[in-house]
Amino acid sequence: MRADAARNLDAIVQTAARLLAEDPGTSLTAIAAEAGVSRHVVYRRFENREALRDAVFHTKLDAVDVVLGDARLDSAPVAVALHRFVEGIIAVDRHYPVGPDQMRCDDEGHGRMVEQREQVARFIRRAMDERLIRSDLPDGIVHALLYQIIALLARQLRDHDPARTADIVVDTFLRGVSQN
Amino acid sequence: MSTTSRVHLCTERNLLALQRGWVTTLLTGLDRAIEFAGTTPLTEVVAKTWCTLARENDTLRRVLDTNIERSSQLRAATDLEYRMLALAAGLADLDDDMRLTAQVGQRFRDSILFGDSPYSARPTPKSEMAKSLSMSQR
Repeated sequence: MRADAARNLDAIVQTAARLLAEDPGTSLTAIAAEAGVSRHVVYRRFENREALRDAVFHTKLDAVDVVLGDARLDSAPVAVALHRFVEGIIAVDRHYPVGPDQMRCDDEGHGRMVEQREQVARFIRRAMDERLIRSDLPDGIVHALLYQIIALLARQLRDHDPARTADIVVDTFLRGVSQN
Repeated sequence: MSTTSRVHLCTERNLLALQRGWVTTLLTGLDRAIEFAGTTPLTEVVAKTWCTLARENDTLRRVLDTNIERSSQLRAATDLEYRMLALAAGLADLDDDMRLTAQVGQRFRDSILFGDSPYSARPTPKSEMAKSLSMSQR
Protein backbone atom coordinates (compact mmCIF):
# COMPACT_ATOMS: atom_id res chain seq x y z
CA MET A 1 0.00 0.00 0.00
CA ARG A 2 1.40 3.38 -0.95
CA ALA A 3 2.42 5.77 1.81
CA ASP A 4 1.30 8.85 -0.13
CA ALA A 5 -2.29 7.76 -0.53
CA ALA A 6 -4.75 9.65 1.69
CA ARG A 7 -7.93 7.63 1.30
CA ASN A 8 -8.29 3.87 1.33
CA LEU A 9 -9.68 4.08 -2.19
CA ASP A 10 -6.58 5.95 -3.45
CA ALA A 11 -4.35 3.16 -2.20
CA ILE A 12 -6.43 0.53 -3.98
CA VAL A 13 -6.59 2.51 -7.22
CA GLN A 14 -2.84 3.14 -7.18
CA THR A 15 -2.14 -0.52 -6.46
CA ALA A 16 -4.52 -1.50 -9.28
CA ALA A 17 -2.83 0.91 -11.68
CA ARG A 18 0.58 -0.57 -10.94
CA LEU A 19 -0.51 -4.21 -11.17
CA LEU A 20 -2.69 -3.71 -14.26
CA ALA A 21 0.20 -1.97 -16.01
CA GLU A 22 2.39 -5.00 -15.32
CA ASP A 23 -0.35 -7.49 -16.25
CA PRO A 24 -3.71 -6.35 -17.62
CA GLY A 25 -5.16 -9.71 -16.58
CA THR A 26 -4.47 -9.21 -12.86
CA SER A 27 -7.49 -10.32 -10.82
CA LEU A 28 -9.41 -8.19 -8.32
CA THR A 29 -8.42 -10.68 -5.63
CA ALA A 30 -4.72 -10.18 -6.40
CA ILE A 31 -5.15 -6.40 -6.37
CA ALA A 32 -6.99 -6.56 -3.05
CA ALA A 33 -4.30 -8.76 -1.51
CA GLU A 34 -1.52 -6.47 -2.70
CA ALA A 35 -3.40 -3.46 -1.30
CA GLY A 36 -3.83 -5.31 2.00
CA VAL A 37 -7.63 -5.47 2.04
CA SER A 38 -10.13 -8.28 1.91
CA ARG A 39 -11.36 -8.95 -1.62
CA HIS A 40 -14.92 -8.43 -0.36
CA VAL A 41 -14.05 -4.82 0.44
CA VAL A 42 -13.03 -4.28 -3.18
CA TYR A 43 -16.07 -6.16 -4.53
CA ARG A 44 -18.39 -4.02 -2.40
CA ARG A 45 -17.30 -1.03 -4.49
CA PHE A 46 -16.28 -2.55 -7.84
CA GLU A 47 -18.39 -5.12 -9.60
CA ASN A 48 -15.48 -6.48 -11.60
CA ARG A 49 -11.98 -5.70 -12.85
CA GLU A 50 -13.33 -3.52 -15.64
CA ALA A 51 -15.08 -1.27 -13.12
CA LEU A 52 -11.83 -0.89 -11.19
CA ARG A 53 -10.00 -0.24 -14.46
CA ASP A 54 -12.49 2.58 -15.16
CA ALA A 55 -11.82 4.02 -11.71
CA VAL A 56 -8.07 3.97 -12.39
CA PHE A 57 -8.60 5.71 -15.72
CA HIS A 58 -10.85 8.43 -14.29
CA THR A 59 -8.55 8.96 -11.30
CA LYS A 60 -5.65 9.42 -13.70
CA LEU A 61 -7.70 11.88 -15.76
CA ASP A 62 -8.50 13.80 -12.54
CA ALA A 63 -4.80 13.95 -11.72
CA VAL A 64 -3.95 15.18 -15.22
CA ASP A 65 -6.62 17.89 -14.89
CA VAL A 66 -4.86 19.11 -11.74
CA VAL A 67 -1.51 19.15 -13.57
CA LEU A 68 -2.98 21.11 -16.49
CA GLY A 69 -4.53 23.62 -14.10
CA ASP A 70 -1.33 24.06 -12.10
CA ALA A 71 0.83 24.44 -15.23
CA ARG A 72 -1.34 27.32 -16.54
CA LEU A 73 -0.55 26.37 -20.12
CA ASP A 74 -2.45 29.31 -21.56
CA SER A 75 -1.02 32.09 -19.39
CA ALA A 76 2.29 31.23 -17.66
CA PRO A 77 5.59 31.92 -19.49
CA VAL A 78 5.93 29.10 -22.02
CA ALA A 79 9.15 27.62 -20.63
CA VAL A 80 7.79 27.68 -17.07
CA ALA A 81 4.48 26.13 -18.11
CA LEU A 82 6.29 23.42 -20.08
CA HIS A 83 8.41 22.44 -17.10
CA ARG A 84 5.44 22.42 -14.71
CA PHE A 85 3.44 20.33 -17.13
CA VAL A 86 6.23 17.81 -17.70
CA GLU A 87 7.02 17.49 -13.99
CA GLY A 88 3.35 16.98 -13.14
CA ILE A 89 2.76 14.43 -15.88
CA ILE A 90 5.83 12.43 -14.83
CA ALA A 91 4.49 12.24 -11.27
CA VAL A 92 1.05 11.20 -12.50
CA ASP A 93 2.47 8.56 -14.85
CA ARG A 94 4.51 7.09 -12.04
CA HIS A 95 1.48 6.93 -9.76
CA TYR A 96 -0.77 5.53 -12.47
CA PRO A 97 1.53 3.77 -14.96
CA VAL A 98 -1.31 2.46 -17.12
CA GLY A 99 -1.61 4.00 -20.59
CA PRO A 100 -4.87 4.86 -22.37
CA ASP A 101 -4.39 1.81 -24.60
CA GLN A 102 -4.70 -0.40 -21.50
CA MET A 103 -7.96 1.22 -20.42
CA ARG A 104 -11.55 0.51 -21.25
CA CYS A 105 -12.39 3.99 -22.40
CA ASP A 106 -16.01 5.06 -21.83
CA ASP A 107 -17.50 8.02 -23.69
CA GLU A 108 -17.02 10.42 -20.82
CA GLY A 109 -13.42 9.36 -20.27
CA HIS A 110 -12.65 9.52 -23.96
CA GLY A 111 -14.10 13.03 -24.14
CA ARG A 112 -12.03 14.19 -21.19
CA MET A 113 -8.87 12.70 -22.68
CA VAL A 114 -9.48 14.43 -26.02
CA GLU A 115 -10.04 17.76 -24.24
CA GLN A 116 -6.80 17.34 -22.26
CA ARG A 117 -4.85 16.58 -25.44
CA GLU A 118 -6.40 19.60 -27.09
CA GLN A 119 -5.20 21.80 -24.22
CA VAL A 120 -1.67 20.52 -24.75
CA ALA A 121 -1.97 20.99 -28.53
CA ARG A 122 -3.04 24.63 -27.96
CA PHE A 123 -0.05 25.09 -25.68
CA ILE A 124 2.30 23.69 -28.30
CA ARG A 125 0.88 26.13 -30.89
CA ARG A 126 1.49 28.93 -28.41
CA ALA A 127 5.07 27.74 -27.87
CA MET A 128 5.54 27.76 -31.67
CA ASP A 129 4.09 31.27 -31.94
CA GLU A 130 6.53 32.42 -29.28
CA ARG A 131 9.35 30.65 -31.12
CA LEU A 132 10.34 28.41 -28.24
CA ILE A 133 9.90 25.39 -30.50
CA ARG A 134 10.06 24.86 -34.27
CA SER A 135 6.93 25.27 -36.32
CA ASP A 136 8.21 23.66 -39.54
CA LEU A 137 7.65 20.03 -38.52
CA PRO A 138 4.70 17.98 -39.80
CA ASP A 139 1.45 18.22 -37.82
CA GLY A 140 1.38 16.28 -34.58
CA ILE A 141 5.10 15.46 -34.51
CA VAL A 142 5.99 17.85 -31.69
CA HIS A 143 3.07 16.67 -29.57
CA ALA A 144 3.96 13.00 -30.13
CA LEU A 145 7.64 13.66 -29.51
CA LEU A 146 6.95 15.42 -26.21
CA TYR A 147 4.84 12.52 -24.90
CA GLN A 148 7.36 9.94 -26.11
CA ILE A 149 10.27 11.70 -24.39
CA ILE A 150 8.26 12.07 -21.18
CA ALA A 151 7.26 8.39 -21.20
CA LEU A 152 10.75 7.16 -22.05
CA LEU A 153 12.70 9.29 -19.56
CA ALA A 154 10.13 8.89 -16.78
CA ARG A 155 10.78 5.15 -17.00
CA GLN A 156 14.54 5.33 -17.62
CA LEU A 157 15.20 7.84 -14.83
CA ARG A 158 13.04 6.19 -12.19
CA ASP A 159 15.65 6.99 -9.51
CA HIS A 160 15.31 10.73 -10.17
CA ASP A 161 12.47 12.69 -8.63
CA PRO A 162 9.91 14.20 -11.04
CA ALA A 163 11.48 17.70 -10.89
CA ARG A 164 14.96 16.45 -11.82
CA THR A 165 13.53 14.17 -14.50
CA ALA A 166 11.54 17.11 -15.89
CA ASP A 167 14.79 19.14 -16.15
CA ILE A 168 16.26 16.47 -18.40
CA VAL A 169 13.05 15.93 -20.40
CA VAL A 170 12.60 19.64 -21.11
CA ASP A 171 16.26 20.11 -21.98
CA THR A 172 16.23 17.11 -24.34
CA PHE A 173 12.93 18.19 -25.87
CA LEU A 174 14.10 21.73 -26.56
CA ARG A 175 17.75 21.09 -27.47
CA GLY A 176 17.83 17.46 -28.60
CA VAL A 177 21.08 15.63 -28.02
CA SER A 178 23.32 17.97 -29.98
CA GLN A 179 26.41 19.20 -28.20
CA ASN A 180 25.91 22.76 -29.42
CA MET B 1 27.79 -1.05 10.60
CA SER B 2 28.27 -2.17 14.22
CA THR B 3 27.34 -5.65 15.37
CA THR B 4 24.61 -4.20 17.57
CA SER B 5 22.99 -2.23 14.77
CA ARG B 6 23.28 -5.22 12.43
CA VAL B 7 21.46 -7.39 14.95
CA HIS B 8 18.86 -4.65 15.43
CA LEU B 9 18.37 -4.34 11.65
CA CYS B 10 18.04 -8.08 11.31
CA THR B 11 15.49 -8.15 14.12
CA GLU B 12 13.48 -5.35 12.52
CA ARG B 13 13.54 -7.19 9.22
CA ASN B 14 12.44 -10.41 10.89
CA LEU B 15 9.67 -8.64 12.74
CA LEU B 16 8.39 -7.08 9.53
CA ALA B 17 8.51 -10.47 7.81
CA LEU B 18 6.55 -12.00 10.69
CA GLN B 19 4.00 -9.19 10.56
CA ARG B 20 3.64 -9.70 6.78
CA GLY B 21 3.06 -13.41 7.39
CA TRP B 22 0.42 -12.64 10.02
CA VAL B 23 -1.35 -10.14 7.76
CA THR B 24 -1.39 -12.66 4.91
CA THR B 25 -2.85 -15.31 7.21
CA LEU B 26 -5.44 -12.84 8.49
CA LEU B 27 -6.36 -11.69 4.99
CA THR B 28 -6.86 -15.25 3.79
CA GLY B 29 -8.92 -16.06 6.89
CA LEU B 30 -11.07 -12.95 6.52
CA ASP B 31 -11.72 -13.63 2.83
CA ARG B 32 -12.89 -17.14 3.67
CA ALA B 33 -14.93 -16.17 6.73
CA ILE B 34 -16.74 -13.29 5.01
CA GLU B 35 -17.49 -15.53 2.04
CA PHE B 36 -19.51 -17.83 4.29
CA ALA B 37 -20.76 -15.23 6.79
CA GLY B 38 -24.36 -15.31 5.61
CA THR B 39 -26.38 -12.89 7.74
CA THR B 40 -23.90 -12.73 10.63
CA PRO B 41 -22.81 -9.12 11.24
CA LEU B 42 -19.42 -8.44 9.68
CA THR B 43 -18.04 -7.06 12.95
CA GLU B 44 -18.75 -10.38 14.60
CA VAL B 45 -17.29 -12.40 11.71
CA VAL B 46 -14.11 -10.32 11.68
CA ALA B 47 -13.72 -10.39 15.47
CA LYS B 48 -14.18 -14.16 15.60
CA THR B 49 -11.76 -14.71 12.72
CA TRP B 50 -9.13 -12.56 14.37
CA CYS B 51 -9.54 -14.41 17.68
CA THR B 52 -9.39 -17.85 16.07
CA LEU B 53 -6.29 -17.04 14.03
CA ALA B 54 -4.59 -15.32 16.98
CA ARG B 55 -5.14 -18.46 19.06
CA GLU B 56 -3.80 -20.68 16.25
CA ASN B 57 -0.75 -18.41 15.91
CA ASP B 58 -0.24 -17.75 19.59
CA THR B 59 3.57 -17.66 19.52
CA LEU B 60 3.68 -15.40 16.49
CA ARG B 61 1.16 -13.00 18.07
CA ARG B 62 3.19 -12.90 21.29
CA VAL B 63 6.38 -12.02 19.41
CA LEU B 64 4.61 -9.22 17.56
CA ASP B 65 2.78 -7.88 20.64
CA THR B 66 5.97 -7.94 22.71
CA ASN B 67 7.99 -6.00 20.13
CA ILE B 68 5.49 -3.49 18.86
CA GLU B 69 6.43 -0.80 21.38
CA ARG B 70 10.11 -0.82 20.47
CA SER B 71 9.81 -1.00 16.70
CA SER B 72 8.44 1.99 14.82
CA GLN B 73 8.56 0.03 11.55
CA LEU B 74 6.49 -2.74 13.07
CA ARG B 75 3.98 -0.18 14.37
CA ALA B 76 3.68 1.33 10.89
CA ALA B 77 3.25 -2.11 9.36
CA THR B 78 0.59 -2.94 11.94
CA ASP B 79 -1.47 0.01 10.71
CA LEU B 80 -2.10 -2.06 7.59
CA GLU B 81 -3.62 -4.77 9.78
CA TYR B 82 -5.81 -2.22 11.57
CA ARG B 83 -7.03 -0.78 8.27
CA MET B 84 -7.74 -4.27 7.00
CA LEU B 85 -9.85 -5.02 10.08
CA ALA B 86 -11.81 -1.76 9.98
CA LEU B 87 -12.60 -2.12 6.28
CA ALA B 88 -13.46 -5.81 6.45
CA ALA B 89 -15.76 -5.21 9.44
CA GLY B 90 -17.52 -2.38 7.61
CA LEU B 91 -16.50 0.14 10.29
CA ALA B 92 -14.78 2.27 7.68
CA ASP B 93 -15.36 2.86 4.01
CA LEU B 94 -13.04 3.10 1.01
CA ASP B 95 -13.70 6.84 0.95
CA ASP B 96 -12.44 7.26 4.53
CA ASP B 97 -9.03 8.66 5.40
CA MET B 98 -6.41 5.93 5.80
CA ARG B 99 -5.06 7.23 9.08
CA LEU B 100 -8.50 7.51 10.59
CA THR B 101 -9.33 4.03 9.34
CA ALA B 102 -6.24 2.67 11.06
CA GLN B 103 -7.32 4.32 14.32
CA VAL B 104 -10.79 2.82 14.02
CA GLY B 105 -9.25 -0.57 13.29
CA GLN B 106 -6.91 -0.30 16.26
CA ARG B 107 -9.81 0.43 18.60
CA PHE B 108 -11.70 -2.47 17.13
CA ARG B 109 -8.71 -4.79 17.52
CA ASP B 110 -8.22 -3.60 21.12
CA SER B 111 -11.86 -4.26 21.88
CA ILE B 112 -11.43 -7.79 20.53
CA LEU B 113 -8.16 -8.28 22.39
CA PHE B 114 -9.41 -7.04 25.74
CA GLY B 115 -12.77 -8.74 25.45
CA ASP B 116 -15.01 -5.68 25.60
CA SER B 117 -16.07 -5.72 21.98
CA PRO B 118 -19.60 -4.38 21.61
CA TYR B 119 -19.74 -5.55 18.03
CA SER B 120 -20.76 -9.15 18.39
CA ALA B 121 -23.67 -8.28 20.66
CA ARG B 122 -24.77 -5.04 19.00
CA PRO B 123 -23.52 -4.23 15.51
CA THR B 124 -22.39 -0.62 15.22
CA PRO B 125 -23.74 1.36 12.26
CA LYS B 126 -21.14 1.83 9.54
CA SER B 127 -18.59 4.52 10.22
CA GLU B 128 -20.17 5.54 13.54
CA MET B 129 -16.85 4.85 15.21
CA ALA B 130 -15.06 6.91 12.59
CA LYS B 131 -17.39 9.82 13.24
CA SER B 132 -16.93 9.66 17.01
CA LEU B 133 -13.15 9.49 16.61
CA SER B 134 -13.24 12.45 14.28
CA MET B 135 -15.36 14.46 16.75
CA SER B 136 -13.06 13.65 19.65
CA GLN B 137 -10.05 14.95 17.69
CA ARG B 138 -11.54 18.40 17.06
